Amino acid sequence: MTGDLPVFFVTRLLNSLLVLVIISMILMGVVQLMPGDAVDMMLRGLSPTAVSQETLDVKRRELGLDLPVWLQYWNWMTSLLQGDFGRSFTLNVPVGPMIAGRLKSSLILAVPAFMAMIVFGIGLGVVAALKENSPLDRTIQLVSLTAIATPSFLIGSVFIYVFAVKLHWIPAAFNAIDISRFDTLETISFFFAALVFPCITIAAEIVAHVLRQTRASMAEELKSNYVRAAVLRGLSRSQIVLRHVLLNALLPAITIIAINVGYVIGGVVVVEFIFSYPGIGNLLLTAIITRDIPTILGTMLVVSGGYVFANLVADLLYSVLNPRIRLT
Amino acid sequence: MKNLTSQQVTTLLIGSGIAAFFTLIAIFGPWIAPGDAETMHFTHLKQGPSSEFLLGTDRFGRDVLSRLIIGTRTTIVIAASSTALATVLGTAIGLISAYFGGRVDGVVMRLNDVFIAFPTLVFAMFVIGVLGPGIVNGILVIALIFTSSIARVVRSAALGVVILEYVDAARIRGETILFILCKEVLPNLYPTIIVEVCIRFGFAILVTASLSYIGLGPPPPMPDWGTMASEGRSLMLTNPWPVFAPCIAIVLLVVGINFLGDGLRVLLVARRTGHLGSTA
Repeated sequence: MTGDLPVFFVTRLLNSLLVLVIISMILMGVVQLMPGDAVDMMLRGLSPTAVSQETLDVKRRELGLDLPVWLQYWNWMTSLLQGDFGRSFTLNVPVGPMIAGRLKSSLILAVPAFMAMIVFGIGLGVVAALKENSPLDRTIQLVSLTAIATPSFLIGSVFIYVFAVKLHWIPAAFNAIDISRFDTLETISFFFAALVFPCITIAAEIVAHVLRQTRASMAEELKSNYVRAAVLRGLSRSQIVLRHVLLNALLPAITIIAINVGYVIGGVVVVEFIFSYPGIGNLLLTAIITRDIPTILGTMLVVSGGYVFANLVADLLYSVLNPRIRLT
Repeated sequence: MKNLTSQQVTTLLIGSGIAAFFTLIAIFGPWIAPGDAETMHFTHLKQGPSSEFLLGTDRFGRDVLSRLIIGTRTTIVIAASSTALATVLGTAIGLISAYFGGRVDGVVMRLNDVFIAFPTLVFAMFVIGVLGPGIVNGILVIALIFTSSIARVVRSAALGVVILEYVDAARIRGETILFILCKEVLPNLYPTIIVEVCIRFGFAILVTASLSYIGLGPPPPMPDWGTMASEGRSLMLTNPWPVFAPCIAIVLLVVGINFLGDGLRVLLVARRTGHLGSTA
């Protein structure tokens, strides 16, 4: 059966690449449907009458917007393969490094939230399943449901309301603040405002998602026949859980984690907006408003690419740990 | 029905109560609202709750309670229409994919992979941002994203049904594919679909509100919960009600829908195992 593993790896890899190519086509397609293009937005936006049609045409040719779609797509793809994401229409800087920089800022929020998701989501999910229907389980269930139902902008707003507005511990918006002039207390409060609160805001929702899914899969596992058999054989509960159930229940957790990467990304976007955090979500939002096509396309591709990659890794990991899946 | 514990009954009742409450508000909103949602009372700007304005007024002096009630319809219409559209499309795609299998299934599932690869909120933001905000665009994009996840759920549930003998029997009888899918396969999937619809509707509310919050909701003057929260956020210090009122409504509705989904799952599954009887 081990001979199948490389084949499975290659198939999955090609599959993910195909998905990425189709995604890039969809992105290019949707952008074509945009009413009013970037040139209109850039030049006409200032003074509608002052700009002649000629100037618009020149600018359009300069940016390559007069080309047919397939040619625009071809140019985009060929430069992408050379690692070039194109130049931003509005800022006139290369898109690639800009995305890289913003991505780094976003990852500072996303990675700790992701860690919290794995540790607390799976940990509390397992605990809740082991104590199924106990008061502890009910409490965990109710709190996690509330966390899912609460829009992240409410959690973020409450943080800002309580700590910035009421207590004055942190600045409410910090993108225009000069960090170098801070004293220790200001630095600490800045750290909380800039990183800890946004991070908790993202984590609250995704921890709850993972927790509920883990609890469900673990609870199901505990009801399966082999667990009953083990109970009848007289094994202690802790033995059964540690030796048999945990591993089986943690396999689905890999898939659960991968699926929830999408929520991490979505959460990052909203949270960056609430806290005016200069990450990739705010970059995308600004690019959409200013019709900056290369930035929109690049950001979307990187974001979806990250998600596809996470799912690929999960699939491969799953197949290594559970050989049965490769047969299907 | 027979096997429900009192706690499960309570969950179901609370869930359906909340859902019914908001549905009634969405339908009869304009008649229930104490005042006009758009009238600006310039003598009563940024006020707290009072007997005249039960939830206070926003920075333009508009009645928060009236806006909340009127906004219920906008938010629920977007969420419900997109969920309904996605349910119809997703069920059809899932059924076809499971029934025909083979190459049809392969192509459908590959397309599904593509749509699932977009993080919901980011994709919605991209499409609406590019095409322009509006109720129809909002409904279409959320429906598009949810279609793939519903198709996936329906397909995996249908795979277990299409192999059953009575489906073969119907085929041999010469029934049309439409008849087999709708009359023989689909009724078995109702419990799965209903529970999935509840989950998706809850998400749809959150996505709709989040999109409005970042400024990609239905254009003004149509009030909706996310837009209300977004408009009020700069004045949260002195005037928190315009933010908190719609947020509380969102939490209440989404929790209620989830209760309803959980309750229905237990109810429908209990009924089904009751039918099958001996398998347990």
